[in-house]
Amino acid sequence: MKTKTGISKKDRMPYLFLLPAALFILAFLAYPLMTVFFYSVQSYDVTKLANKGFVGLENFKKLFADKIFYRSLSVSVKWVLTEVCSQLVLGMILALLLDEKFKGRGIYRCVVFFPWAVSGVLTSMLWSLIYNENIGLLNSVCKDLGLISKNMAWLGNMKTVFKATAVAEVWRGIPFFAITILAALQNIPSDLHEACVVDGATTMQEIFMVKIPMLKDTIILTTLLRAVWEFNNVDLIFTLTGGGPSYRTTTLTMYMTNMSVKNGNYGYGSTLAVIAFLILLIFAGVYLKLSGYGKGEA
Amino acid sequence: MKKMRKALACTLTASVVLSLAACGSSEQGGSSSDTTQAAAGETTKAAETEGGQAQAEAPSGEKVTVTFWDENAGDERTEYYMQIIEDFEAENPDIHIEYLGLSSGDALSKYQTAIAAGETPDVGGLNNSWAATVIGQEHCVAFDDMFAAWEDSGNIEEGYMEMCRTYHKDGKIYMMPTSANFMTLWINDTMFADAGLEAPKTWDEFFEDVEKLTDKDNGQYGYTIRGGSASPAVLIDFIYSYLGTNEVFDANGKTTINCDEAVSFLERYLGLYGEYTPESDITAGYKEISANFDSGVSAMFTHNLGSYGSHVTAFGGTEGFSAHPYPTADNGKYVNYGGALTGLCMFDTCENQEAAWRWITYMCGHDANSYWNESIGQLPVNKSCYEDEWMKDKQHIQCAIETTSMDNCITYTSPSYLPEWGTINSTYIEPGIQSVMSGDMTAKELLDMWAEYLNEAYANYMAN
Repeated sequence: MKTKTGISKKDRMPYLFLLPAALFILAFLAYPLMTVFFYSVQSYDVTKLANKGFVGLENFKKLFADKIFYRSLSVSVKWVLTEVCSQLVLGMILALLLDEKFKGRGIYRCVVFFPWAVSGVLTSMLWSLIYNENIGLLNSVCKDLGLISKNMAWLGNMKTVFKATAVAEVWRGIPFFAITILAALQNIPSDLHEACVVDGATTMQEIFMVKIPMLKDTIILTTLLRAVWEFNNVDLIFTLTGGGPSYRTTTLTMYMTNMSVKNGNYGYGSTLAVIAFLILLIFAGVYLKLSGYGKGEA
Repeated sequence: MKKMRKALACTLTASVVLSLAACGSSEQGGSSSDTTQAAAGETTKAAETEGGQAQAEAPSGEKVTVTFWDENAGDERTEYYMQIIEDFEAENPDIHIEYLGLSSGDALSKYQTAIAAGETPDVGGLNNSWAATVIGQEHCVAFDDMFAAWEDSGNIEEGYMEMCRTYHKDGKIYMMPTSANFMTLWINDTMFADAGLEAPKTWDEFFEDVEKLTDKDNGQYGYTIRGGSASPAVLIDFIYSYLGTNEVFDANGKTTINCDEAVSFLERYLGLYGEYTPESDITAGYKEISANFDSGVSAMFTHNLGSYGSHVTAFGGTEGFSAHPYPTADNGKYVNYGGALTGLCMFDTCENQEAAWRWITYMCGHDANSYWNESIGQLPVNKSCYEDEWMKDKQHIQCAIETTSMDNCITYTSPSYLPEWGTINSTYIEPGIQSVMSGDMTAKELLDMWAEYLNEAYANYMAN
């Protein structure tokens, strides 16, 4: 039975069930998003409330003349590339190893997935202790191995700070790729493996010519998600280095956080957020288009 | 449909970054939720004695609640406050103090969010380095009339009250001081004795001692530089202490911070980094430099009286370390940092100003002020506490009193009253200091940049 509008009662039900979630999304995602766009064209600095008001594109002009913006953007690009590539490669290696049948596989799986269960702040504390100049484990190990002669401040040294921070984040991010790729590997029909064996394919040939093509959509989606998360990463960098020393680990979102939360300049902070949004929007669109996501293996 | 899904996927993934920014930028809804989260997340401790009773009596109008934010909560400090609140409530049964402890690192942003949302507490603790920033937002109540009418006003140290008047251009009192501090050169007595040295009295002696006390091969350094959080605020005190002047801006409104003497001092001071100080100093905040001193890595470090407790714990008593003033300038002047006050303000959202004022004056009165400052190891603001026995026993307290009463002592006020002070420092100067330490920038370039920002901020301040 249909109503006058042509929608039956039965057809309305899904919309009713979706309504609570939709309201939450509107309240906690759409509204704040609109607010950010609104503030990006406002002067809203809590230390200068007298100047509060509409400034048009003034914040954007300031942004394009801001050297720290360009510097932080380049750090962000470097950070995302380093993290996503390292985590993907290492995560895939682990997933391929864990896909094999061997004794104690369950224990190894637990160990590999462990970093994913650790919170960002705990990870930072753990790694800041490892990197500590005076009591750090890394200095101790490196000295025992004869790699260094005196203690190093891994997070204070301009040459090592980015790498040291990146390693901590790679450690945290590997399980994400390992879990998702392992799940995808287990969905590959076993007869493909048997066919490889029958055809005399080597393990490497099987990986590169059979498994990886089958994992294409998983890889595209996980790298896209991880790229976005890494671009937005604040917790680990904030607690480990605070963006320093001398902007060496100040990513765009770190700069935005400092500007908004620390300095109280919500207007300019929102402008940075809008630009970061546009960058991610374009990146996601281009990436999905070029990678041929969802088109399947020919 | 597939295209639509892709477009949605792009938009949703990208929108995550906006959500991140939105967390802190919403004026009403967002801020208010931030405040609520803050309240839930921070150390909320209603005075345990009568927490439930307060609510029960509120409808009758007999008991009022005064909300109070502690700007630097910690396990020990919170316990001291709990004791004071208990005593206060026993004396004032019609008032209930609702305590909320903020961590010192987040306090300013919590206040800023609360002000933007109109959800400020009745009474809030302020720290000298950002008190002017909060007061400058025009939401604090002027105390001048209440202070004049208060019977104990004559006992509050005049110099501290004068300092509080500098936090706003109108010269009114918006903060009642509860504690004063003293910038201290803490030295490891054992290391100094082993090297046959005494605490440096001049800056030349300071630099010589730092070199002599360094034994890099054994992981011992003469000094530890604060290169991370809040490093500009410490460095500017050093610069004016070295210059021996309290004139931060000249008659033309231009800062003196980039004069030639300041440049040569900075080259020498930051030149210590790496050779005579730990390499990790480049990002070190208070905790790190304090740990360097407490663990015997560095023989000297500078902070205020507030770190006394951690040294007692680390050294296992009051022996082995001592407090000293900053070195004297070449012109014979000792420059005392006069702005090291903490105190209480009242926000204009307070509905029971009489009750809030009673709480504030209780904290400034002899008993609470003496107990509080003895507990946290700082200087009381109520002069009647000066005769208390505990003040005579503590070396660091005596050092502060003796130094500030010297004839050659002049008082300097940091430009932390400039609204842009925090932004300039965290965005440009702190990374700049790190650049000089790492050799990416010269001391002159840093000071010229700092001067440019300060001059602009000062001009704005004077114009508005």
